[in-house]
Amino acid sequence: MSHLPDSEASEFFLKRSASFSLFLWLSFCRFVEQGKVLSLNSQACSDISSSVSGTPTSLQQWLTLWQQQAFRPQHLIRLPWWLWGVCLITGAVTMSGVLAVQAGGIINIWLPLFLFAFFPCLLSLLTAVSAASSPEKPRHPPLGYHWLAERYQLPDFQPNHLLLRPWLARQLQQGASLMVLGGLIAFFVFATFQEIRFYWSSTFIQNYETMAAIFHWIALPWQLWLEAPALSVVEASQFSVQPFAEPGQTEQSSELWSFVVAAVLTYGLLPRLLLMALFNYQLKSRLGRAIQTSVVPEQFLNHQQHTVSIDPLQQEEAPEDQPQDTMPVATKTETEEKATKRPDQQEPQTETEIKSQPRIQEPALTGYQVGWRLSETEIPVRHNLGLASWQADEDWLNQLSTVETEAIALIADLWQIPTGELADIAEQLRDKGVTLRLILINAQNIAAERTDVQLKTWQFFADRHQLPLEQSSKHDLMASLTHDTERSEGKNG
Amino acid sequence: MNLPEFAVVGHPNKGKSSIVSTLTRQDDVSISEISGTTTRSQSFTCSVDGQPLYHLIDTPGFQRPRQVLAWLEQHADNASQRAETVKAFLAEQASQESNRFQDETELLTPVMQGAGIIYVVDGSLPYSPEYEAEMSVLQWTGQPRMALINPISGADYVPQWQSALSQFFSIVRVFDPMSANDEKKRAVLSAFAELYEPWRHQLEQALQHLEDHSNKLEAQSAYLIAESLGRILSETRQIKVPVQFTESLLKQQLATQYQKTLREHEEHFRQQIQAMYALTQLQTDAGQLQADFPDMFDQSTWYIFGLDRKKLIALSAAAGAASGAIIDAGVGGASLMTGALTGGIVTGLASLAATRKTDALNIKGVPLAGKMLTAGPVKDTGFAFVILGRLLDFADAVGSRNHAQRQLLNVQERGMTHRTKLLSKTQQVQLTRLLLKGQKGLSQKEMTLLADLIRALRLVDE
Ligand SMILES: Nc1nc2c(ncn2[C@@H]2O[C@H](COP(=O)(O)OP(=O)(O)OP(=O)(O)O)[C@@H](O)[C@H]2O)c(=O)[nH]1
Ligand SMILES: [Mg+2]
Repeated sequence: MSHLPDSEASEFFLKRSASFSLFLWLSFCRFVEQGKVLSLNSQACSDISSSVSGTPTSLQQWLTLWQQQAFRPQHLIRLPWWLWGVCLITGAVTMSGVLAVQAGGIINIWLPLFLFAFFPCLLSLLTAVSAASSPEKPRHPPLGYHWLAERYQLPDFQPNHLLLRPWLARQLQQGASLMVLGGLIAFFVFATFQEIRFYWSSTFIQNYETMAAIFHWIALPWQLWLEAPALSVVEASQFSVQPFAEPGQTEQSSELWSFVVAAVLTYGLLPRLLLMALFNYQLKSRLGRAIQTSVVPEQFLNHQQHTVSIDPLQQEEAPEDQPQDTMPVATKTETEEKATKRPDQQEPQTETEIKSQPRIQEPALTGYQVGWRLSETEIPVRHNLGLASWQADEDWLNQLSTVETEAIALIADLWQIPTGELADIAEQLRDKGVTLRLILINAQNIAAERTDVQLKTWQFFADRHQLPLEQSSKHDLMASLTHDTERSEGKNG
Repeated sequence: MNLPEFAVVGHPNKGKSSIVSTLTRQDDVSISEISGTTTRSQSFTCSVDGQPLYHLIDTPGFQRPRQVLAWLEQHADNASQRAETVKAFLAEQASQESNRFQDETELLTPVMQGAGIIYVVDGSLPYSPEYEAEMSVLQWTGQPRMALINPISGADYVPQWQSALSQFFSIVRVFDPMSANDEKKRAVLSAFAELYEPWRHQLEQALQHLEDHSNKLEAQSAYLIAESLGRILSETRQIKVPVQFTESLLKQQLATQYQKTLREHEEHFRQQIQAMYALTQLQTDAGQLQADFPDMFDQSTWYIFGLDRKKLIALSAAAGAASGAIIDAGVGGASLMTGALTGGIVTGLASLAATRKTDALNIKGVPLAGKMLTAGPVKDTGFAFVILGRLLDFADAVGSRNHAQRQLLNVQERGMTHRTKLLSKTQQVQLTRLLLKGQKGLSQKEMTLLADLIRALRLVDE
């Protein structure tokens, strides 16, 4: 069995009531889906983060920031108050109907008991059984869900059915409890202004002792607080025996009201309240699980903490004050703020521009050869620059007589990365009036695709510094160089 | 206490940005094959669960190290003031208008502000003395420093580099930001931890966090796969066929719609996986789902009066309104209960009514009765395995992707045969059973079991 990681996220979302937690979570999921970015200005962060930089340093802090900035009370969906009102009134009206059946105020006790105690109890039992045995499988949304969803922006049923079902069931129980409550209120109102007398009658049970026993059984759950109707009361309230002639008996039969109220509370209301608690619990535990297994918090963090790389091309156009909500600045801290650009270094052009095959010619070797960081000592060049100290290179440049070297071929290994120092040397030579060419030799035997990449880098460098670029194999170059050197030596001698 | 912070420095184009990208799991670090991509120093943070663990600073490469070294040597009075001299160099550059040493300033500034140094070289090219100037400048800063050899296109010169680097750096390691797996990343991070005692504890904790985090991602992605699989397997789509309509035409349309929905589910899954691995920029070559669904239409029911069978049953059961019609249709009273219970009677009735009185059931040309075509769920175990395989392939490919990689992600097809060997015989049976059940939807318990099995099916490279 895989154990789930203990989740900081579920801790955050499950802080409050089940319903609140549910909609907090659903609203969070929607936020992440929409890919929005939180603002991280110092004001927003100051109350939640203790870190110096002001950015949140834990998931809790990130979520708090989200709640502050993006969660609105209207995301918390509450069914309309009038719906509850309707439930209450339905209960009250039903009860009034029951109590108004007979003008004389004599009511068959089984009617309110059935409507407000036993029938609701039966329904509660069925609900409990189906909740316990119900498959958690996705099914169609319950009747009326679409209607609710449309009016109150409820989420889609299918993907969230595990969470929505207990939530809906809880709402249903709440409605049902209110109905019972409405009935009770109506009862008390009636009882205040009118005498209500209950009677019982039966085809089969003529013996009031049996009926008293039945009442006793019904009253078992609350017998510690309230006694079951006494034998005399039961006897007096039998319809067929005595239609309430004597005043004493009247008193006794009206004693039955407390029995009815207790039955309604115990069988009608209590199971509903228990079910509400059950569904609350079910919702919370499912929600906790859903949050733990969900990838949404991770996606949220990734998105919020995504650091946009400084794009050298955009940097110049867009100044620093980019709108906060479009650019995550979470972890971006520029170490240097100056936006000045070196005059000699422009940014690489877009890839497509560079992608075109380097335009490299075959070298025609004439003139004076200078090496750039050549490791191959066999290549006979006049001087190999870039390996000794910078001072040594400068000294050599200074002593260079421009009379004999109006054209210089700079020979470099393809595997070198052209740097600013090479550009500096090229510039100094050009300042002296020297015509420069770059010749690349491939001295290492490394994968062909990297050769292409290196060529691109050199081509880019050459273009930037307006240097003609040529390429040669080591062998060809050696041959022509030896020949060249011999010739010039012969001339000198 | 300040978080550990390292400046990743070196020659241009040696993979500095790649190392930063992979070790901070940020896929937006600029990386390109052209030298000089990075022109500004920028700090990237590696965070887990919102908690920052360490910073890596991507820096431009050295462009003029010998000139900087010459400057330093000229301006240093004695060896003990080397770090001061570097600071003086930075101060002087800052005061100048045009800064020839912008790259050096950019890269040395964070170092002088206290960042540790990670010097990067290419292990596929030979060492040469030209690197000494860079290494000397770094030595002048006096900051803790280590070297990473990045074998960009081979490890031929690694030993040569190792001996050269050891003269300048206390720690030398080989690290390839493109192909490093979790273990290698951890190894290189523990090398960071050795570098500077005050940061050791934090880095060791960071390692622990990262390990926990990768376990968490693994568990969560398994759930995501299980959920998406469940969604695809249990997908159904319905369409109403009015009686006069040719069924085959609508079947075609429904099949297209159905396939489109499945593809949307898969696409959604892919986006989720990418987002959770922080690889939103990723381009993949993963193809769309192409499949023939042989038994897609084995469900068809009748509807009448714009109601489907379910609602009809509910209605007639509630109101008893159908009884008259049932008697009218010649169904005996005794069968009423059993028929209503199974629901079959209503279907029968609906079809009866629909076939018998088609004309009467038209209101102003709107057909009121006909057949209900249902596509899916696809009741084919092979199909279920194919989908599972596809989801796993994608998750594996994305999960083992390093953030430095920029090329198209190639999603390798590993096939389920290979994967199922990772399961025991019992588990294989369990999996098959769950996949079959998946068409009807899985319970939470079954989902957990499926996620566990899926976790065992993941293949991680190397
Ligand atoms: N095959 C392979 N290529 C790599 C590796 N490391 C870097 N590269 C490639 O080398 C090139 C340069 O990588 P970057 O990370 O941009 O190098 P950099 O040092 O930041 O370069 P600058 O910012 O230009 O100084 C890119 O094309 C990378 O894809 C590696 O380990 N293997
Ligand atoms: Mg770079």
